[in-house]
Amino acid sequence: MSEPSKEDRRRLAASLSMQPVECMTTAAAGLVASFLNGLFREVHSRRLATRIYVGVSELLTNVLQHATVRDGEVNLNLHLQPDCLSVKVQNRASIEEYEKVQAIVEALAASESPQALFVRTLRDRRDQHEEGGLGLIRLVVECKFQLTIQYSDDLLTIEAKLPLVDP
Amino acid sequence: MNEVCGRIYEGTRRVFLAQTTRSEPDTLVVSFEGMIRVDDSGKVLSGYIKELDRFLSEKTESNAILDFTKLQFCNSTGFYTVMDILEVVYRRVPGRVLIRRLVDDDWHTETLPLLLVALGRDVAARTDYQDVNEGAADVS
Repeated sequence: MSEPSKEDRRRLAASLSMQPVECMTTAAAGLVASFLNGLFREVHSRRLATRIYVGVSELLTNVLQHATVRDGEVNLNLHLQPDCLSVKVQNRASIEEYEKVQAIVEALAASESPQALFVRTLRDRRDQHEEGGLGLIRLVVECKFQLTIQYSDDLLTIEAKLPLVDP
Repeated sequence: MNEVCGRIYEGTRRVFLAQTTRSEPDTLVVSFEGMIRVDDSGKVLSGYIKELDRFLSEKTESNAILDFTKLQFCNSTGFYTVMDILEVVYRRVPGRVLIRRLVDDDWHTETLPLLLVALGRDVAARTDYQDVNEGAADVS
């Protein structure tokens, strides 16, 4: 059996389903991200592989920290095309959970400076001795992902997409 | 005591190390190695942060080097922990702070500067950056 070419290996997609959400840890999210980072690091740049790591880690952690339906599953899809990277996470969620995520995505889209939004959010949460609340903003500010969300039949899907110039 | 360390373990495996030492001439060196990916890094490293503050209260160096070149990943919850460490260093060290960072890593070039902005204007004003390629020899 011949090995696929480097070009063919660049078209690799990966899917993972884990359940229940309540049994997962953020360290486990990091391990999944490490695995996918290693898989794609073989044929892509360090920067792209790291963006995959960050995207997977933060989207999974977002589910672990905020999912209201704790006995459901979380589905992860990673798809790399020549001109675009897509990392998508889906979980069963309440309308309130969807509205919280929607508010963040809309604030990012409306913001003239996502960096300023990031700094403001960080300062506000520190002042209130709170943590969290930065994962989705980080994807946009640090890795330049574009975020979209869908909510249908109690399923919340968050997709982080990154246009690629030179993967 | 010449050294203060903070560590994060996953099981028995150490995944993160923050090491603080004194170096000549009159320079504090804090190096970060590994990954911060647990969701309670603030709690895990709270003892180190308190000890760091006490260590610097005994004798404060004029300048500092913060070496992030071996920090492979920091989750967004860890940003608050990194800021707590930075805040102690900038509060105790009156002079220039040199940050060594990886030139080809988004966290180092995009997010780390924003953590400093969040700490305040005087912090950014006395910060210098040294950009390092991953795997490059140390440049002094």
